Amino acid sequence: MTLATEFAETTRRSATAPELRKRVLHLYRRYMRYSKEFCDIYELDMPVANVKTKIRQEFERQRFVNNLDVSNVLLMKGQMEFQELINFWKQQCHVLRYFDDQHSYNVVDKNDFVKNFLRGN
Amino acid sequence: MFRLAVRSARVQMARAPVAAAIVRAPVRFYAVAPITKEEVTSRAFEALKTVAALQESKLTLEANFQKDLGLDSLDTVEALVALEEEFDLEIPDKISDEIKTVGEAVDYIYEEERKL
Repeated sequence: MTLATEFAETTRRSATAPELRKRVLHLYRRYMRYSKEFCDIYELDMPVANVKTKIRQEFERQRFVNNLDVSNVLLMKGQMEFQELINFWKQQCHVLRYFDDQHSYNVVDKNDFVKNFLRGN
Repeated sequence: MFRLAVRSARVQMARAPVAAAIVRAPVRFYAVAPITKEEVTSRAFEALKTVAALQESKLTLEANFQKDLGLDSLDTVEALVALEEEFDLEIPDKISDEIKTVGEAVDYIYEEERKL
């Protein structure tokens, strides 16, 4: 049974950067704690470390956001995402979309510096 | 062959003195010995080594997560979660915000483990 209000958090706006930073860290901690849970409930066929790395990447993407209002919205979205993930409101395919680029290691590198170098350009 | 062996063993058991009635003071046996500080420390160090960004050579009890071990704020959170997973406890947000060094974390975990 899922409780609709479980893991819910009232959206609010942080007026200062230090307070927001603290809230972000709390959210990150919650994600980290439940990363194994995500792996289990969505039957992700990958090590937990992989999921943790992906969570980290998603946080790192917003590292250099300076605007406090934007950061507030991002935190709110992160919290919503967390609630949806942990309450099993998503399905496996939704979660796997995060790992779409996982297998793109074989894509051709557009930088053909070495080729030009060998040709003597 | 096996049956013979069992039979002879059984005979021997029957002959053994039944109650050598040694009355000892009752001893309480614990499932596990209470955890020591050294054990907490070594296990904490092992767990911390799993954090990728951490500089292992500088790992001491006095080491500050951010200043000495070269972690940023997210790495620190990861390190504390690694400790939580190792010791199977949940450090409340308020306390983890205050933990700055490895020693503080070990102290807190030791106190919590003793409460069990």
